[in-house]
Amino acid sequence: MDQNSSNNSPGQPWLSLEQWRQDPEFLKLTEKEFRSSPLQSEDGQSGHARRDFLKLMGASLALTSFGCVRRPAQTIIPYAKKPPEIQHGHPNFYASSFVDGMEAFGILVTTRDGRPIKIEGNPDHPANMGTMSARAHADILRLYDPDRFTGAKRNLQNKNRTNRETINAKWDDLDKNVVEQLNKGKVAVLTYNHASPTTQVLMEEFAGAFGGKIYQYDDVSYASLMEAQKASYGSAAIPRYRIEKAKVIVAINNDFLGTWVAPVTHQRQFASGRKKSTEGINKLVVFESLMTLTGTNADKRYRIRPSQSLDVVMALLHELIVVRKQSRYSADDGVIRALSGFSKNREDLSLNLGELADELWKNRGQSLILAGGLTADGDFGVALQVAANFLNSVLENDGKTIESGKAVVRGGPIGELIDALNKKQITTLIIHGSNPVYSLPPGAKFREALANVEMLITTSDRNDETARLADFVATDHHALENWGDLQSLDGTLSIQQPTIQPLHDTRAFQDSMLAWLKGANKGSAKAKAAATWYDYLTASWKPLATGKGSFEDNWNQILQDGVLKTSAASGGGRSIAGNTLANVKPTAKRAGFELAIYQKVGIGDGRMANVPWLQELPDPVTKVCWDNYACISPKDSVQLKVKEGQHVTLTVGDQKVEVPVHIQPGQADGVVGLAIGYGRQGGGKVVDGIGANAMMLAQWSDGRAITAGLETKVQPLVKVTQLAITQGHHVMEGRQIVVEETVADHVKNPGGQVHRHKMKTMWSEHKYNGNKWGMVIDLNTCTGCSSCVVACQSENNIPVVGKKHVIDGREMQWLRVDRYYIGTPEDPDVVHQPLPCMHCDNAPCETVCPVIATVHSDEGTNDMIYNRCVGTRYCANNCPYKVRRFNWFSYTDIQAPRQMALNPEVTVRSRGVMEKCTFCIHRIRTVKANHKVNDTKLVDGDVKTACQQSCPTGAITFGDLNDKTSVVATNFESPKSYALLEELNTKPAVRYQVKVRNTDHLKWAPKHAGGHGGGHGDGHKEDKKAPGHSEGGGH
Amino acid sequence: MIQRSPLVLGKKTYETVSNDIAGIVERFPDKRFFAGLAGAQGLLLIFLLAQGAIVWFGMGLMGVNHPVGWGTDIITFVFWIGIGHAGTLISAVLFLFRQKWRMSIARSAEAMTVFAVMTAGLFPVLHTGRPWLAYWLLPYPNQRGPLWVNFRSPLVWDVFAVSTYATVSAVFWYIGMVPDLATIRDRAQNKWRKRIYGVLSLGWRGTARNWNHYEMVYMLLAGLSTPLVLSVHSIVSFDFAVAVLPGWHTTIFPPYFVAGAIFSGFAMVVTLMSIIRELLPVFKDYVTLDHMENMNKIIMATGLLVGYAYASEFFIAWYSGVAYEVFIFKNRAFGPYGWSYWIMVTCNVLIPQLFWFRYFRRNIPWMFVISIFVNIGMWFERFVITITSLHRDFLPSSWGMWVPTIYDFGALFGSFGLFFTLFLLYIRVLPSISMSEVKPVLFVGRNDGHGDKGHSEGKHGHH
Amino acid sequence: MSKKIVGAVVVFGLLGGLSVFVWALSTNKVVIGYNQGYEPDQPIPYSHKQHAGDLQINCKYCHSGVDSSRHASVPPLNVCMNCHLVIKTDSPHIQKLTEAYNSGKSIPWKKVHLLPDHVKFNHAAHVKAGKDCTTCHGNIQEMVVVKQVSSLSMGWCVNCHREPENKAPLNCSTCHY
Repeated sequence: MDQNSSNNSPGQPWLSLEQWRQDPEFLKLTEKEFRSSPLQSEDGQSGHARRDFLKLMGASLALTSFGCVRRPAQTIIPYAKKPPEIQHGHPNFYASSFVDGMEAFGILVTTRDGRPIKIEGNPDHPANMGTMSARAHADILRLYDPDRFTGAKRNLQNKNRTNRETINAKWDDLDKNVVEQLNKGKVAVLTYNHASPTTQVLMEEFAGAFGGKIYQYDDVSYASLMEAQKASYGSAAIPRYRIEKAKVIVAINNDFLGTWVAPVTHQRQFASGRKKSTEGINKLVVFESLMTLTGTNADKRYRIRPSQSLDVVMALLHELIVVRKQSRYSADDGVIRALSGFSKNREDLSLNLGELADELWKNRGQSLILAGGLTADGDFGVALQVAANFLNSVLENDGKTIESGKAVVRGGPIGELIDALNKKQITTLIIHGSNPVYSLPPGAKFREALANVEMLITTSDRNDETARLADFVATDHHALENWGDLQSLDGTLSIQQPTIQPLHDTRAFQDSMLAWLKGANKGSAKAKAAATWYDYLTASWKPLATGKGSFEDNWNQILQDGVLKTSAASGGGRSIAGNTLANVKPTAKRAGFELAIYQKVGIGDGRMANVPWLQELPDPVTKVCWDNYACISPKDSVQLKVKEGQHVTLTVGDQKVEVPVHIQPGQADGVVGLAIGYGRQGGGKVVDGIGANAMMLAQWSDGRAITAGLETKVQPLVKVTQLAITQGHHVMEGRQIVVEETVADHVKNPGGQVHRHKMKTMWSEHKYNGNKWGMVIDLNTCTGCSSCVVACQSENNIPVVGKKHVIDGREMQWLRVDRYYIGTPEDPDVVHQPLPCMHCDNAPCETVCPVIATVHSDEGTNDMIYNRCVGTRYCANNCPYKVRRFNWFSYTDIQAPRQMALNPEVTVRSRGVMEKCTFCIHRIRTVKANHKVNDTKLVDGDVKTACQQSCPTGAITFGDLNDKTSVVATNFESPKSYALLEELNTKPAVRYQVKVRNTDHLKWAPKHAGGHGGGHGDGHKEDKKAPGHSEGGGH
Repeated sequence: MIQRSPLVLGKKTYETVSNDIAGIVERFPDKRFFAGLAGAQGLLLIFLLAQGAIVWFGMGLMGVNHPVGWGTDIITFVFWIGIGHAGTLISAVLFLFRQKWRMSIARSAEAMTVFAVMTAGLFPVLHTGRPWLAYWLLPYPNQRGPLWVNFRSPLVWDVFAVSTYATVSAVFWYIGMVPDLATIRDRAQNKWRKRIYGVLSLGWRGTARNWNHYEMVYMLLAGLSTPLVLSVHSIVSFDFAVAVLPGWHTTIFPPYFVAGAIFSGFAMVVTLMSIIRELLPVFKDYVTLDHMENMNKIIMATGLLVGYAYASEFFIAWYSGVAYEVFIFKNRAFGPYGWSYWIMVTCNVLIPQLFWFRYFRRNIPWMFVISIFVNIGMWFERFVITITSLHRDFLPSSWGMWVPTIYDFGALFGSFGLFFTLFLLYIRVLPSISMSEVKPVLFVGRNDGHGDKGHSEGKHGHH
Repeated sequence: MSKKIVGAVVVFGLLGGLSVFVWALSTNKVVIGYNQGYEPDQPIPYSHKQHAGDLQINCKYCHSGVDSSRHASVPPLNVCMNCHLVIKTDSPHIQKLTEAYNSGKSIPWKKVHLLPDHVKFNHAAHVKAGKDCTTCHGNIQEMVVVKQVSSLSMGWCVNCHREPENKAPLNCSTCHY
């Protein structure tokens, strides 16, 4: 009885692999996996067939499960010819690579029966060392995105591309037309930073063959950074930042931990400098306009307007060179003249930077200046970078904390392309991987310029803004369906290999180029010889895959590792080209509000915005999801008389957008922030219609998008929408939740600030004879990036509920990251606290469950037995940490083919059932079973939870507490560690390590709450000023 | 010696008593009755629709969320369980104390108990995520190992407490009716009525032996249900008191809940009686102003008890010095749900003070209004305990708000439909005043010379 | 008088019978609703008696996953063809098999032993613990048509796990997660 009633959900079938075996097409695919080129013309139909099949199975199972006594009749369809590498019940891991903006790193793709279900980091890749970003996890759902094109498309449309009709195109037909057109010459290829050397070679060959030119456009551009690098050091490279070597890091409107260039690498580097908490812990000083992830991790934080970014750098230079007469430039008239030009701006800035200057000079060679990014990419963008470079060289950081990097220029700047288009110099334009029609400022007049080309071809994977204007869409594969190679910023070469046969009738862009070359009977011998892109790739890798043994052996080894270990270039020093400050001119003072466009940690440039996980991922700073909003400071909100969620129109020049307001503590006054990646038309069913497109406000000046320091009018409207915020209240109310310590205190007495309790109990404790699983979370290295949240969601089949339900307080994420403000709303410190289930030894939830659906195991885990749960929700009420999640509705009918990403190891929960973090119990079980079967012993590090695995800073340690030698056991007992709400004597199996702030005095030292009164008073005073209080209870 | 005022007005004889009361069952009811019944059934329909939708689509239709896991369903459950208490108190406790004035209201009070518990019993089942599995809360042998219930869980204690209470009060109520059912049977002209009431009256003959057994059983059941008055609501209060939540984890809860239960129970009796006195004027002779006044006195007394509990809660919170406790009680009175707290205090503590004045105790419209206020106040007492404790607990990050949906209102108001439907049907088909108990006290306080005689004749009430 | 005795006997008889039934139910002497004895006809009348019994083919030869994976796994057709490329090629059933193998369409076997999806059973672990296939699957080597012998009810699993000599874990999360 119970088995039928407890799992009658359409979600279930995909967990039972037997049923999977029943899909003939799928069978055929898995058979041929990795043996042929991805070029399969009939896959399109099979994609459809598969989906219909899924629907049928869903329906039939839903029906049978109502039948009470009689089994749901199922069949087993074994392979006809089983591929040797597939063993039923065992996952296969394939090493591949992932690129996101400038960041490229190695991944491991978990596949079950030829079906990728999860992406994890590749430990062998130096860029990420097995860790991941939230977006990299989300890429799996982009593969299974229902809104993807299922094949080549053709748009029949009028001359100026205003009206169209999209029809399916046959590839041969498409090739014929395209080749014909290409032969007319005047070809241009517009590509994003694909980060693939071999693709670059092929692309250049392709462009060359048709006398065309390559241009580069990224939805988030680092043009000003590279331009400044060229000006200062002579090469338009993105340097390699060695943040781990820096003792003092100054970030000026630069979100290097959240969104800038390569956050995953930066976070690891930053954390490694943070972990030396006893001596030489690094110090992060942030000057910023908005509250970014980097800002939340600052030891000292200054609030400036975007237009003041340059002034800060110049002020620091002034302090060093003019005031303190330091460095070799102290007598350089040119430099001094340049600096003197900023005297007025220094007054306006009115910050006393002397102390910081001294500190920097003391740590010269061990300091690092990071500047710029979207929020400081104004008309002063390049100047800012140049000045920052100069400051770094003054501080003698070149070659120490900054090393020369690789140029990542894939083609000419977009500005030139637009000119060429307007000059009608281009008849055929191929756009690959970027979406300029959406992300270019209106001022660029790109859409209009496109009217001048005879044929526009895109490789868009969906019907996005650019694809709609194209004549042909040569739909590209998803990366997980395609071969390739990537080069990350440190020069490491890694392989990208397909982990599944293409779901749809799509074709790799590289294959398209080869096909067109062949069609035109052009191209090198290599191109002619290559039947497919795979052949071309391997041919290009022949010189690289060297070593003893045949090429095949080496190649297979590289496929195994996923990375060419020898390839990491050792970054060298470099020297600045003298006084580059000559043409660094002061920025004009802005009147009224300044616009600061930024990226969100989850959504980024919006490339993956159609992945529900990312939409529902609470922003690490605001904790708002499913929406785009204008951030304004508390003070401004009072002046404008706007409240949280009230709509405003932002006007820059003649451009307007309407968005709700979010009042952001710690934001600079006179600044309004707006995130990119929203306001899509054609992004997909999930993202379309959410928020407004920030780039509508950006300006276009000499080939660069101006995204900051723009004078903006802010007009409040009457309309109010509630923002979906997942955190109810934002101050700690004087309770001991996150414990902060100054470095001084910490060195003297680690964990000294923690108020300990002497707990007595009447009852005998649990006995753990085997393992006792436990976790320690280091709040000092946790940056709050929330990669763990998505990792958990991907691992544990956690549903997405949507905006309305988040507002109602029904979000389902098992792991949440709490963010508290400390101090005044104007200038608070911020702490992050990841909160999984605490797996208490004395768990309040266990005693109150009437049906024993949640019980304590003899391994210390608090098990949740879904199929026994009746849903009284008593356990959730009685959980002091509120980590339990209830299935208010049936969240199991997932739109095909998304359910293919479900993890068969984890039961999909039905309606009316409680669920929560399990410590990845399925991983524990699998590892232990394998050890049992192979007569091996479990050692520390065998079991990793999904969150731990994905954490870029290694803040989470997990393992067996009974194994006293294990890392987690030592951390657990360390004086830095404390149990949350210890006074309740729940004895959590999760402990936190104190947050260390590299400062002399904290904004507010928490008095202790539980048991001893006291603290509450401050807590409440705190509360009055507290930012969060206004929406006390966001739900 | 003090002349006490008569318990039954209007110079009744045994015959007129029988005619009055059995008459209600024998006569075809008038329009007012049907109007009332229609209204009640309208509400009942709403109840069925609301709960049906919730079972079909999921608990998400109601306002409950994280962190407020319990809402209208649990509040209303406790509310109805509380209502039940007056019945048992009147019929059992007052019986054991030989309170003559209880005779004429005991039957209806017990009926109220039974129906209130029936209504209440639905809510804990319907509030679960998977009601169709609610039977797992019963310890029964099964093929899963066998797998038993968690005897540490207050919800399991609830199952036992409430089911026991329901059974005992139902039996007590029915046994008490047997002689009257026999009377109706004997008076019946029509064949079917004779048969039906014949079966129901379990072959009652009114012999000395019948009476002997009857008195014995009735006494025993009265003794059995007396402790239940205390146990049931104590155990219901454990649902909260056993939890770790500040605002729930309180030792005062059992007595506080029991007092509140009797308080609300009597208020509901007053409400019902005031209505019935209008629907069926004959009641005015049996349920006199003296009865009402007695009950109003009890309401005022228990109201003061409840008020004391409210005060002591605050004192203990302050005295304990636990910041969580202090905060939760500040939050109760002055937080976002402060209004509910002040509604509670006003309705339960302030308004009943009117009963210090004889005028209000003996004025039907006034007492009706006051009793309604008390009912409202007692619902909000449970609202305050459940919602305001849950919505802001230990970690500020998980604080939230609870907003009711139309389904919450449907479940709440609909439950009154269920209750009143049952009660009106009971008035129609069962002897709603205990003839066999009223007749013995018919002449109490009457100075027409029958004073003593009444007693002797009362023994063998009818021929 | 005698009437009363009869009545008493009847009542106690009923009560006794009921309690015996409950006892049998909760100790898995009697099983209701677990498809015990399910014995479907298969698309190809494959006889375990012939292969495992008479021919003495080791179970692991076909069910290769049984000692390494959670699933024993039904053999892919290429395993059958190892022998049947040459053996009994004239039989219509084998021809059906061969045809399926060549067309890559496989054979839809009826699933006999079905655990609900919220139960995670690991064959390898049980084989490792020295449990013989027949412990749960009965005398498979004598079955012409495979039949579900054990109830596969939770009680049935737990009874065995409770045996001290098995040293089997009794956590709920041993099977449910």
